[in-house]
Amino acid sequence: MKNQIRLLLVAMLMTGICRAPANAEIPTYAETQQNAHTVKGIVKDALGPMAGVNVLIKGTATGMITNQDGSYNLSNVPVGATLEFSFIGYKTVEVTVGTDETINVTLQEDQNLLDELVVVGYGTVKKSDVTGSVSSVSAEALEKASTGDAIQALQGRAAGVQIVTAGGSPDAVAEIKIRGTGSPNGSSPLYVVDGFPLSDIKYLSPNDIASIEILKDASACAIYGSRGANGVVMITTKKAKAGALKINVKSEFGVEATPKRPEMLSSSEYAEFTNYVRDNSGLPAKYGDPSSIATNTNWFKEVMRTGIYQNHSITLSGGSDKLSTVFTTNMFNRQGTVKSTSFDRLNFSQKTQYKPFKILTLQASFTGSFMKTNSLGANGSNNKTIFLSSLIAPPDVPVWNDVTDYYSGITAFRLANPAGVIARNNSKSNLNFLMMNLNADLKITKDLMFTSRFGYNYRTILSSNFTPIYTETSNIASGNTEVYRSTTFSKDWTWENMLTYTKKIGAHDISVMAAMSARDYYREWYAGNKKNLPSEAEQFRYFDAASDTSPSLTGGAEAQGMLSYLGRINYNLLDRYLLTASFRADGSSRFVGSKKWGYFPSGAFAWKISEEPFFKNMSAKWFNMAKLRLGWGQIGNERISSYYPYQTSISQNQYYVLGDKERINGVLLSTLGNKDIQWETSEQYNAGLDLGFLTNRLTASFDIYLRKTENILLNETVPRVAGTSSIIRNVGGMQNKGLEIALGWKDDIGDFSYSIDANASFVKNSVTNLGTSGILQSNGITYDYALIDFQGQFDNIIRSTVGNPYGRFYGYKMLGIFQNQQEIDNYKSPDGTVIMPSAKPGDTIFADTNNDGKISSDDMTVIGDPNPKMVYGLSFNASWKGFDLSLLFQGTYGNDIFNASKFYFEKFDGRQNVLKSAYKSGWSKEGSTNSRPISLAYDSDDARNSQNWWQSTMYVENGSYFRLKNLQLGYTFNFKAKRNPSLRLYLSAQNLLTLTKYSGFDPEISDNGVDAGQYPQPRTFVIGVNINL
Amino acid sequence: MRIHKIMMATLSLALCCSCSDLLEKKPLVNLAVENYYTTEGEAKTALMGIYHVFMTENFGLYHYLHLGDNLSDDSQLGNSRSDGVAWAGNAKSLIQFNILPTNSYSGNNTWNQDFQVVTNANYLIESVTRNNIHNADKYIAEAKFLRSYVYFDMARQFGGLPLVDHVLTYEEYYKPRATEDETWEFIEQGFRDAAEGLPETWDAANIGRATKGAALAMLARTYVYHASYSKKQEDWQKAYDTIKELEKGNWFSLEPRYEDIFDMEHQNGREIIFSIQFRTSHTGWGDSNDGNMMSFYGHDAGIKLADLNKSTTTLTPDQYEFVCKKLLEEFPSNVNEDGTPKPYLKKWTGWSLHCPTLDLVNAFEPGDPRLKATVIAPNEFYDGHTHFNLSSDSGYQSKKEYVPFSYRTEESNEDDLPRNMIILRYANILLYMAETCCQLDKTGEALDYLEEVRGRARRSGDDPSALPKVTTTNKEELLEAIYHERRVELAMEYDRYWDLARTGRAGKVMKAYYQKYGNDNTHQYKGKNFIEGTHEHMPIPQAAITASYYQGVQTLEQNKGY
Repeated sequence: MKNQIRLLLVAMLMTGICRAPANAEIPTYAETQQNAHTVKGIVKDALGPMAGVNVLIKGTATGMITNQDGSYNLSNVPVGATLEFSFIGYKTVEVTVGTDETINVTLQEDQNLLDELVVVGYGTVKKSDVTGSVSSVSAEALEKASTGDAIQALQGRAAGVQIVTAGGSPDAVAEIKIRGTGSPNGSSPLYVVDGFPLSDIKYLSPNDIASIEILKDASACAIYGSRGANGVVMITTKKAKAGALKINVKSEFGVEATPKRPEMLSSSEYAEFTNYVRDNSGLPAKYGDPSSIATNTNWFKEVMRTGIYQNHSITLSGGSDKLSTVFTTNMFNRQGTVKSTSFDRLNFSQKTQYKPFKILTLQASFTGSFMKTNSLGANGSNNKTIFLSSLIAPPDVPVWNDVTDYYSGITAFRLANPAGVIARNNSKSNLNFLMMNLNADLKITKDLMFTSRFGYNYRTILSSNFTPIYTETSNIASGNTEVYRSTTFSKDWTWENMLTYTKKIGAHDISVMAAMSARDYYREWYAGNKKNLPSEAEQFRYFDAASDTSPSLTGGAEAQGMLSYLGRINYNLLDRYLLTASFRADGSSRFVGSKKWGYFPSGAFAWKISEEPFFKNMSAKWFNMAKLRLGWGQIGNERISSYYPYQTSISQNQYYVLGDKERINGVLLSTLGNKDIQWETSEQYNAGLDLGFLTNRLTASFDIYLRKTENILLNETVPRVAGTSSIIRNVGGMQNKGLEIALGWKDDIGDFSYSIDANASFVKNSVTNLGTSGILQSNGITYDYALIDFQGQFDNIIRSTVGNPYGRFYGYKMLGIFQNQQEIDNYKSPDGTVIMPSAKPGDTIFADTNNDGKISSDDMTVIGDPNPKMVYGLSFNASWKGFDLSLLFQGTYGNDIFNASKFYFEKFDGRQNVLKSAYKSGWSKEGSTNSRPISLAYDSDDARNSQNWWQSTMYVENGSYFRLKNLQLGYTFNFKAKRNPSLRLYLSAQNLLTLTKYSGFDPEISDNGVDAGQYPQPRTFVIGVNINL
Repeated sequence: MRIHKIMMATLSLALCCSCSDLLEKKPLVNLAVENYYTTEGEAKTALMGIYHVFMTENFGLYHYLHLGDNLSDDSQLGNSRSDGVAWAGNAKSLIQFNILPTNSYSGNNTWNQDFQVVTNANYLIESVTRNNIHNADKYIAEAKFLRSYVYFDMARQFGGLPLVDHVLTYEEYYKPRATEDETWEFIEQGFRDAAEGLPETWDAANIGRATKGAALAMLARTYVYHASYSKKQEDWQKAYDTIKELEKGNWFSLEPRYEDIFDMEHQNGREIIFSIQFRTSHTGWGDSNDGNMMSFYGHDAGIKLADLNKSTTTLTPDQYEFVCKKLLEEFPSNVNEDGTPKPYLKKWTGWSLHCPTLDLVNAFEPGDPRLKATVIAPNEFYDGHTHFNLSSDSGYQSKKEYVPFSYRTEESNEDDLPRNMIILRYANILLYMAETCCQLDKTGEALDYLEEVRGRARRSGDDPSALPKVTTTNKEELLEAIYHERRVELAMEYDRYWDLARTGRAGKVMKAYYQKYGNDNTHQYKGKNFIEGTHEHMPIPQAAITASYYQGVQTLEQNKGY
């Protein structure tokens, strides 16, 4: 009978006509037990009464959960029965019922962290049973960082994970890289939020997160097959807890400011310096009396401000065992330190759990996230470079020109008036994100569980921009009003069905999972530009108001489908020997023929040494835990830029003229397809050792790994008989070797409890294959208007070659400065050729690395490496009575930064402002300096002036830093009231202190290590309140 | 266990309904070989795309302007006052025969876009065959014409080539070069096939496309080149037979008056066998418009307007005054009150990269009216104003690529001009025939063909005694006379250097030129380093050599001497 009901349920589930079933009977304990009586009491923990604790008569289904005041009341409890008190995160307490009618219990937090449940791909395991390399970060740790970005909150928390927040833009999203760069085609991991795979989680409020697990090695990630090669970040959002309604209100308010205020030249210094460099170049002075210049514009002040940070959330949670729900809302707002930039996010999320039967759990969740970004996307500058422009704009130019009644033009320089850029900024972007998940768990038998989950993600991006007419410089005048709008929407669903079978037979503990996953993705976009609006007023910034007769319109779409079958077996013998094997087969619409399917196996073995009898008998009682983990697997990387890489595509609008000068449309092949394209594959080996000492007060974890990526997709140069210059092929290879160390210490001294966690990761990257060309290079800088002068200076700063780390800096070696003509004449190659015959005293000496007697691009060599030798984090947490304190330090060691901004901030040529420290710092006479070339006017001797500043070791700096990332100090008030309310007040600071030798503004530089004047992360001070009711 | 089975069955059922859809997504937006060339209309756009390549800067500027003419004794880069010269550093080493395989002017640009044509033609041929579209044969014939056409250009530029007549697999990309003989034969086969399938004429709307006559004419031209290199009578005979066949078709004839060939109103006239079509499209600069750039590269406004806008001028005060005066005299309506030129005039600048040499001017016989049609002399009053080009060493400019004022508009760019670029005209075929007959010892016939061209020139002028009839029956003398006729008849039409190279005279002529003019910076040392047996062909571009490595082995061989 039971089986039939279950079968019916399965059928209903599968056919999708699942109705809410009627209450099923739960067998109750016989009420006719002799010697039974009523037992009541209060369950507490260290902080007071606990609601929601499970109280159960052991071996029966009879029980209840405690009320808000922690009380329970069970009738008909037989004498001699055992009461079991359990609560997640606490040690379960068992009490034998005697004659006492009152049993009060105090629960202890479970100190044995190793027995937490860890979320892994398609399942959970006890932490002690984990066979792969997994780092867990709790919600408590995330809450210590005052940020709206969950990834940023992870910074410094996990070994093997490098997180960089590049720049201080309010919508900046941290970049995450797990175990080094695995492919030039992108290193960001896969995110899995409550089982739903996503490529980014910008929409998510950290407040909604219950825990984050980072799957690092192949044996853990291979279950995600073609999407797992860069690691997987598993995010579990907060679940409803049964019990009375709980309310949590959290509110943070803060201010942000640029930490390092750059000191630039004043007008008089600027004028004097200008005259000085003109004199150096043999040109007449430009300013008569430098000290008499009235205008002294502080552009930095015109552009920057004190930013505002706000983060408010409300969480409601409660319900019964059968039906419980959690609702959260979050409002996040940052007004950036650059005027007119901001980021807003409004989140609503609801998760409801319904257990109509003991065997069936249904869960539905919904998240809506509405983001709005105001950035300096257009109008001649962007968020990154407005900061740079505000520093280099000449101080003798007034902000406003009273004659033209408009912003002043900066004529000597290809630069927009920074205040003008801010004022006319109208670049907006709205990202609306909807996510729906349905989840059903059906316990078919005691051992067999069926899970089906369906997730649907819909997002739209609406962007707009408006360009007014502006005329302040000839270089960047717009001349026309123009409105721009774009719309992108995407739909993405994933449906997964999974069977899990677990069985313990004697010493054998087996768990088998088999699943399928289907994914369908579609994205479409269109964008248009239209000129000539009737006025610049906001109300007319729409297409129909513009009179342009030839507006531009673009659009496109892409789609992808995936189908996967996967399975895993976990075998545990004697709770000592753990074996995991998984397999996944992924099929993708992006590939054709035999390449359509990819297969990703993995295997892992763990040995709990401390469970061995010999270990238990060991005399050294301080050494209580040891576990060895070994893993291997193959994973894929699906980062392929094209959705149809197998197609040879054709481009339109290749016109020809026929007849009486008639234009005829034509087409030409554009890119060559390759039907042999497949996933990049990564093979990884991992060995780990987990140790626990002093009853796990001290824990240590070590992992070493080898990660080999093959079949990296590169555009390989081919002979032109192919019809074009290159074809995409699976030819590249890369290898990462690494070591990760995580140490933890936790102790209590009376009321004072504290913990220290430290982690460090070391990665050694090496490129093993780059196809026929053997070289991969890139500029490292995206040139926009303000950075246009870089273009002639810096050429392919970033270069990768086979046998070396990925993405090293490339340039000339600077040997010093020629102090006199004699040094120039004496600087000869082995065969006696004067190497730099046209140099003059004060010029940079470059090394003739190939000894050919001249300086040419062939002398460029490796001048730096942006890959850190070590990335580390150090956190400290302490509490005493109501006080709590946490500190997080993080940093990098052994990496170089190419400080390209020196070209602007230090090289003075009479056009732009420079740092005070660069004032007349260039070579002036024999012996004055050996590190900076002579300062020359831009309109004098261009060749020398720019040649001296070629990409060289002069720009390369030690990028190591040590930063106090977060500091939080709080005090919790506990009120002795019915609902056990509490209130915590706290102060938090971000980026409070940075120790570095780096001379730029922020050593936390985006991935490629080139600093083109990046806008630094702000220092943020936040005051927060957290109320529990 | 029964439950499990049912579960599994249900599971698989649920999955299978969606799997075929999921894994076979129709590519969106993307036009691709796999879904194109399915109709006649699509095949036509694919053909037009190939013709489009002929409109690009890379097509005209390198193989034709720089190599075809500037490399020879006929034309010269502008001097240091030309805007183009600083930019054309590679062109300078070119004319001194200081040619490295890395010089993009000597090969890379031609190589890349010519093979683009080859590949597009092959995709078209294979796709219309596979899709069995209506009139497939016609499209295949035209594609073969275009493919052989670029191979012809490449063969005279580089010699033997990798021969590609189908869509290649990856391994086939690394094909070695065929011999020169094989290459000429491959080109000839293409033109023969094209002549079979191409129509004799096109309707008015399709004027400009290759015809049967164009294919036969190009075939004849190919035989002439092939014979010039092979020195085989049978190849000359093939040229002879083909021209005879062409004559039978009666599709082409000489323009009665020489200068009318280049008249804007006579474009696509009866003498034109094949020309690249252009129009003014107002769609931007360079390759983004439908206009011809050659005039822009060839010309200067007569006065260098850029100088007037410069604070530091390179002109001497005398020159400056002269230029300003000229400007005010000649274009009063185009000068603002403050003396600055109006935007309209600014559109009328050029780079002066294609300037006739004095040597060319002097090559014309006295009274030859073709000189006047070929060059604009210094201080010549033409098109409503006096011309004066400071950038040309000789002071002469090319008239054949000049576009009159009335064809330029204020909105159009100076490189967006509606003059067609003549690739092959009937007089050229007649002179090939004269040369062919001479080589076949049919001297009398040769004289007739020569006279046909010379007579037309004579009749185009006022002096009936000019250009006396050539009567010599001495083979060598007659050949010289034909070569001379080719030089003046086809001057500044981008064929001179290839003529010198194929007839083995390049070394003699260029060395003599250097002796006479060269050792002097104004002539930019033209011809200085000529090496016989090497410079008749250009080097295979270094990029092509580098790209040809397959499993460590270089598959494309470099030309001798480079």
